[in-house]
Amino acid sequence: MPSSHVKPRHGLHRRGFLAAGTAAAAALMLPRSAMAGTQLSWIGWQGYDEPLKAGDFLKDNDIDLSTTYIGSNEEIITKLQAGGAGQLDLISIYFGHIPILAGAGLIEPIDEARVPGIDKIFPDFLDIDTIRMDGKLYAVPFTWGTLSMIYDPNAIAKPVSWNDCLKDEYKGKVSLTDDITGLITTWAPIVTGTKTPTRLTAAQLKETIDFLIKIKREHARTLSPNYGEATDLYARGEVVISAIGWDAQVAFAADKGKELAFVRPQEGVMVFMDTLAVPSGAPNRDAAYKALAQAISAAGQTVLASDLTQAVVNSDAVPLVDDVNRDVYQYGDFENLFRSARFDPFWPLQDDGEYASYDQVQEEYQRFLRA
Amino acid sequence: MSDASAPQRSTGGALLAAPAFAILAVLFIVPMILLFVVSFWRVRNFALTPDMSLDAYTRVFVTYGDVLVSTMANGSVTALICVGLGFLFAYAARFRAGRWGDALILVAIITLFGGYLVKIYAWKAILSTDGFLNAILVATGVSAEPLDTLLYNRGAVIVALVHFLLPFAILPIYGQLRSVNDIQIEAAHDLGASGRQTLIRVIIPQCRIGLFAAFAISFLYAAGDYITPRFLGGGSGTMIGQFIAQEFSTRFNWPAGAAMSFVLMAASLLVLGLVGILFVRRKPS
Repeated sequence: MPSSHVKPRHGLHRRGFLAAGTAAAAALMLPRSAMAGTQLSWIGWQGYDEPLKAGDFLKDNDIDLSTTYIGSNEEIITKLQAGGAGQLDLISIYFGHIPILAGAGLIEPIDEARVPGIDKIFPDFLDIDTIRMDGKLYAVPFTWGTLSMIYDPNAIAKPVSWNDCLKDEYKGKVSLTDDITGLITTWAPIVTGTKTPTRLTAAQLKETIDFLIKIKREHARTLSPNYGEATDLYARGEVVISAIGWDAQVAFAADKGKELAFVRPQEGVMVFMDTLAVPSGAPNRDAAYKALAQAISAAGQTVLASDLTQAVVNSDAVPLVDDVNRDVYQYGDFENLFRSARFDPFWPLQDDGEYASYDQVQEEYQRFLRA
Repeated sequence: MSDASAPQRSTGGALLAAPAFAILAVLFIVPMILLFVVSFWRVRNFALTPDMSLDAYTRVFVTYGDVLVSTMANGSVTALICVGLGFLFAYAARFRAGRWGDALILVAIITLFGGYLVKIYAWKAILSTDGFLNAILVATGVSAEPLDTLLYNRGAVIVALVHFLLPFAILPIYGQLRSVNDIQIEAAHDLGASGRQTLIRVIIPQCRIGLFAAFAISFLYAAGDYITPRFLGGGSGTMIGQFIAQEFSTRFNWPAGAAMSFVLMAASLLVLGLVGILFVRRKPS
């Protein structure tokens, strides 16, 4: 704030303070509709709201955007379960949670006719079973990425296998990030030989977690709380290879002046996708659909790519993103991508006696965190 | 004033206290009661179901017993260090710094500026392999190469917590030391007491409440913290606050999170009770 805007100390006497306080309280008590147009309640990761804030979208549509940022996707489920349905208008959430929300009636099917530009979304992301149930689309793809192996090309040769991070010369220099689905789906095929790492028996799950504990104790520098922290470890030269990574880290590191590279090892990598969905009983459905269309538009997606280095889902946005983004995400070669990368179905929600449920997976993962 | 005015005075006092009590009830007591009730519920299909189950409490001890113990230990060590350093600082400010005493306290308070996360990242910068401390160790020949054992462990968590909590420990101790009568100290010296005897038999007994308050503030904050261990503890410095946060958010298991919170609260009260007996059992003579 410029110093010329600072009031002199004697400028605000008691009566003035009370008057100002009363005015502020009155302003706070005004109905939101009296202060702006339609209020849109949005919840998701910080930054995912940038496509809505860019340009004149909010002003042109007379929308007052109210955002709630999350620390984990599950917070959205908790919020909707705790009475958020009927209050929230638009959510941004990991695609794997869509069956949970749809099954619990917490989100409603998307009216595709109300989403201009949905035909521009890559079919590889729009047509997956997890977001389409009984012929109805429950969520619209928003962004995606792969959990690749990240390495420092100036320190080591290009790895080819996830097992390369377990070599003796990398002990204590391995990056490991707290990512329950990423870690288990990456390592379960290697440890147990399963083809579908989200369908694990209790024994396979235990075997995988035991192996992850071994990586944590014997190979990893530390367990980073998120991929941003993990990138900092590379920037400081504390790690050179990863047991789990995210391709966006290459761009994160470039911003810090550090060169990193990613590789999709021969055992394959997991693809993740974040989506947009409309909660059941959304009070401002019209505004929600307008925002949804804006978020997946070429302009909105370009903001996502430039501000967060995220991958776009709209084919019209590809020519608009920068070269670094195109190099990382290789939009023109999805056939090649999906040879080494896979969408895994979400964990079973209930214990079916054969495969571990999501709750059992989380319970075992706590053992990994405590170890 | 006549006796008849006593009930009127009492009613007036109650009315004056009513807004404060209402705020306390709405913001603290009611949520606590609700959370306590939820701790006996179950979660079915990601929805809370009323029940009278002790499963969540059983799970706390079976699954998180070891983490609870290490959390109590971390909190106690942090609080003891804060009390020790806090007393030294407050003693210096009260009895050794002369007219600069208040300035020293102001400096301690100023260290609170800048926020909590800034301190965490500052300690990461100090303790990392390319950090300030390693640079000094290598430059002075103490270590041939940077040590990677300074960060991502229990010690790093405690150091950062002590840094953050020390001002909170200094203030109550200094407040109590300010009330120590100089005449009593001079009398002790006149009667032949050494400096050490004066400290132990005159000064410390008069600031027991301040020492206990410093311990309680530092301990409760450290035992409930989940940010510092997440960023500085790595795999070995985990504390129960991290798991409480996960039960509420990631696992949407509110009964488990609530039960863990109440067990943590009970364990903390137990520790404070034991420490309280040691600190304030005897009244100063």
